[in-house]
Amino acid sequence: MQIENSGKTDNFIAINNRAANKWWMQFRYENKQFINIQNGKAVDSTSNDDEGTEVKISNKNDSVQQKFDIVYLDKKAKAATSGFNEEFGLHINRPFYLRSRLPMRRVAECIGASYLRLKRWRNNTKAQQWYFDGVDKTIHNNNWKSHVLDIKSGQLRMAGQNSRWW
Amino acid sequence: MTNYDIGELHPKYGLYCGSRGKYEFNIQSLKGNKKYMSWQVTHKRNGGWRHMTMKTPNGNKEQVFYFNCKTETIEA
Repeated sequence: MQIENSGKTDNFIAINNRAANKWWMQFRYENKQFINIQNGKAVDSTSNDDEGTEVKISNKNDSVQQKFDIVYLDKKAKAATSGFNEEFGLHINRPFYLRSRLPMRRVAECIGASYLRLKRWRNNTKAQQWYFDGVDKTIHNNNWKSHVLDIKSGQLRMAGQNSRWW
Repeated sequence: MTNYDIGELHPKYGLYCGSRGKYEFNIQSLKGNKKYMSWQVTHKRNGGWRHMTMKTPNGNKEQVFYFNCKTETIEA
């Protein structure tokens, strides 16, 4: 991780770079802040809390947007793999059907890991089954497990999981 | 230059020395929904520029980092 353009901007990026030990790549972790060792500026998640908000570098001000916890993977509590998620109103990893209330009661089926169509229910058809993932908080198809419900250009489609709000 | 072992706390940087698969960590914001820092490819030229963004925890490698004590950098 480093400050873009050899420390001359306020953008915070990760880039393949063989040069090392440069000040714009070096940050110390102190009082829950990442502080650059030369210019003293802090990594800042900005006041925006939207999904995908860019992280910047700004003057150190000790605000909560400049504070981070380091969560080591071996000490991290394991995410729930079952039970009910109150926030999303869905059971974790429990397959379900999305059934229309129109007269034919068709169910949503994933077509070719790309499209969503209403089809007649067929017993044990995994492409018609869905489940809520407790880690990434998205709805996956039970046949194409790496693909999730996703809004694209106003349409409900299937896409690779990315945990962004859409 | 002092050499540090994997798992040793670097006194200058306040981070444990790690490598791929060892002492890896997520960076979680204390703000709002407590999102994780993630890298995200924004430009595919020159090996890929990856802007750092805040995202919901998703268990993917884009949210995993470690501190390299040799280069004294945080690597994604």
